[in-house]
Amino acid sequence: MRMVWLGILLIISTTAVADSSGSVIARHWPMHPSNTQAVTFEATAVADRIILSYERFLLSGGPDSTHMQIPVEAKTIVKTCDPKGSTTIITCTYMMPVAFPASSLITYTATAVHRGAVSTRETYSFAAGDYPWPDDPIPIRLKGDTKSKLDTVFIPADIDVALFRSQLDEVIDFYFRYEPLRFWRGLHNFWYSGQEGKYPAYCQFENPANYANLHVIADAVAFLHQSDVRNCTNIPRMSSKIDSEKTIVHENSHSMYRLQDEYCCNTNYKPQACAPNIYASLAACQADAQALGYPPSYCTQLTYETTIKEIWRIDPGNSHGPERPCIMGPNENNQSSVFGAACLRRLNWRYRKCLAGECMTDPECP
Amino acid sequence: MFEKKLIAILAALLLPYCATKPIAPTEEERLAAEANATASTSAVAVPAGQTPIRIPLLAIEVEFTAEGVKPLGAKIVHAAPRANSAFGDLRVQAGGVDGWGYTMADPRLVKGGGPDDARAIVLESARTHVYVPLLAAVTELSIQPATTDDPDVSRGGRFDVLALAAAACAQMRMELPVCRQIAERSGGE
Repeated sequence: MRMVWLGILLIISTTAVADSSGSVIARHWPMHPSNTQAVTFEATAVADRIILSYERFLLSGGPDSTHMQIPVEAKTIVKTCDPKGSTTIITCTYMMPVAFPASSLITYTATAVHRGAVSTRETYSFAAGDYPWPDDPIPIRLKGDTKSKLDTVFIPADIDVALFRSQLDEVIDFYFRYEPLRFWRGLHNFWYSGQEGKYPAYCQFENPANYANLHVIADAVAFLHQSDVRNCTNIPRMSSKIDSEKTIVHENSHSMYRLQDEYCCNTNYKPQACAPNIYASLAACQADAQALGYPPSYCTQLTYETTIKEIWRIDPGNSHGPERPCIMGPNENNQSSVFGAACLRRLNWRYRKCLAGECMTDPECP
Repeated sequence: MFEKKLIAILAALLLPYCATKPIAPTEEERLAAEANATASTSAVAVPAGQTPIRIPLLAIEVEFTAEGVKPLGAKIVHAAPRANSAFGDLRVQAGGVDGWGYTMADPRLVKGGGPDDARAIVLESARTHVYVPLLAAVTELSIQPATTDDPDVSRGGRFDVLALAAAACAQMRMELPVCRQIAERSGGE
């Protein structure tokens, strides 16, 4: 009997590690390899076989003219991982023997084969070698047109740029540790700025000289630093220590999904007209409880010491048995924090708008 | 005893998924997510011979205060038209062209970084960029609150853009045909 239970537990655990949707997860590093850095491709999936391939384009054109991409290397398979056994979790890794030349745009594809047929595939593009347009945002995980994607631009702020670049793969991993971001990762674009900004004090952002070029495509602009200065969001800008997973995901969620803080009180509260995660009345909160799978008793008024706001939340603020605190709430920095059900609904609502071709509609509700 | 502990662990693993089942993606959406994962990617450049996805835009740096908004300067950037913001506090509209507009967050509104005090923050002043198409027909820019029921949101305002566009054109290393039209309309050259 014990073995049966252990088997069930093992299946659930391993499935969660691979991917809840059963997809192949593709990644590479460094996110923007220099003229001398060889890139490493990696993919993980529950599959019989994984195939890693890429195409290379040459980027050309002046700063004031149309940007062009010219195919220079057709699709090339660099590695096939085939353990010759039953279906299991495969991690397939391949390091290129040489660096890609300057002005390259690499389109990387990881394909998972299950029972002889292609089961899932993931494709994205990234810059390699010196980028030809230094004022522009540099693509490091690009899925497509900015209007139908959620675009995050990272800016180095008082941090060595080489160190910043070397950590970007971990920063993007932070995002995809959370559902439903991982499930909808095909709707995210990631870029970074080759020019530096500063974040010298609380809520003081000093933009890089190319900020006009970054802001125009960005839904979120993340100033990543190494200091202990208190962080802040001034949409679309946000600040975070580069290794602070919870802060990055929390602050980014304001800009991307218009998620509201669920803690009190140093912020502005604007209950959303549709798919809200906070409410202007207890009655509105309780009326929404059933749709979210919560008991109405979960509705909690936002308070801090003697301050009381006329705002209510329903996502758990603390751990209660199996429930985890919401990452938008008072325990956002708790190691186990996730998106609560109200936040999850808001995220999925936003992704459905992206699927329809426009992530940020105006007005946002019909 | 051992089984009870395992049941508790399983419940802990499964309950969050059960609780959120009504809002989880459908099978149809799972297929859509897969399609997006495999979609072709092209947003920095276009294959030779295809229509450009980037157009010249006038990026105007502006400063918001409690009194309104004023332009500080402008430069020309090439990009896809600006999309709306998740926080549509303010509506940006270009006068002289139909259908150009988008919403943006109020740059004076701030969200604090953590639940450790009770201050609500509205900055005295804040700078940001707004974007209009680089066209001789665009003479004015309007920034107004998207709704009238939020007292925290800045008042916005309107200002002429033709002189800003002409100045930005003069700084360009490469001459754009539209810049000649802007210069003629603004009374230069």
